[in-house]
Amino acid sequence: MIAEFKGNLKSPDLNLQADLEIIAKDIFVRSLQKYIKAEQDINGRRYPRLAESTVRQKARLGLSRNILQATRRLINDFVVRRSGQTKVIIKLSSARTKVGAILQNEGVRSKAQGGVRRFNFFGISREMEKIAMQYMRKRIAEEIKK
Amino acid sequence: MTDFNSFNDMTNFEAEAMLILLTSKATKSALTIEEFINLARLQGATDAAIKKELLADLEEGGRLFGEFRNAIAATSNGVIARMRDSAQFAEDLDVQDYLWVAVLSNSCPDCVERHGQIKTMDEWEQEGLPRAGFTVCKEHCQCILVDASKSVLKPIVRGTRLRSAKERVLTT
Repeated sequence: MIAEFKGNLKSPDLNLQADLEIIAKDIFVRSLQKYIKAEQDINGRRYPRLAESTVRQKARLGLSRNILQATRRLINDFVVRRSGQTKVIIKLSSARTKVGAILQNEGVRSKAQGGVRRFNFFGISREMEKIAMQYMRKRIAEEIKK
Repeated sequence: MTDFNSFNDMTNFEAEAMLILLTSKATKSALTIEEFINLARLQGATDAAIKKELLADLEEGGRLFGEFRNAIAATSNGVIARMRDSAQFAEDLDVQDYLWVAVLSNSCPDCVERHGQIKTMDEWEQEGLPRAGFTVCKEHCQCILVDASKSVLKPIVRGTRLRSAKERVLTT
């Protein structure tokens, strides 16, 4: 006798949306803000110094001479929100999206630097990935202990 | 042929919109870590075995944590280069139907079967999104979901050879 069995033997899935939200707020956004304050891109490279003319203009306008922190709006405009049942989005608030995209993707012309400068301030660095992994390992250990 | 301009528009959208999208497992029956552990305990697994399985899966980006690993993976030089299919923007764009597009070069039988099918995002989530582990290729899947309203799959048609005058005469 031949018996045939068809079954759906998939192992259960994990929905980690809540964890992703914590990672987004407490790890990724804080890291992005830390990099901006340190005047580094997300890979830890320092931004080239501003041209003297730029520094003078910022002083004339009463703005901070720190790179990407003239008005301190960019650093405070990261938004984290859940999307649907499974996604978490990190984005700049609409007010700074265009400026951020220009700085990151198009770049700004720099005579002093001889070309186009891009400020890679937005993304996920290896360090951020590593910290997110550490968070998840700790989370698993804590859940097991319960 | 799939409208690659549409796909490029989707890729540029994430970069232009300054988005980082973190995606978890797609199925509606997904469990939290706590529920998974409780279920495993009910099935007789020891805490040590459960911990070992979870940590191993996390490190390897396996069945349970594959999507999570993809979500937190480092981007390249700050560029949002992880956009693989327009389905990730389902919440942000007014897209109703998605077309499954397989690479069709060494694709697994599940993906070949799905190629060309059009479903809503909810239906694809039930069926299993690319790289969610529901196809034979599992997290190695290279398929994408694109906006069905902008993409038309047509079979590749090689250019027809122009017949010479002699051939035209012979065939008439």
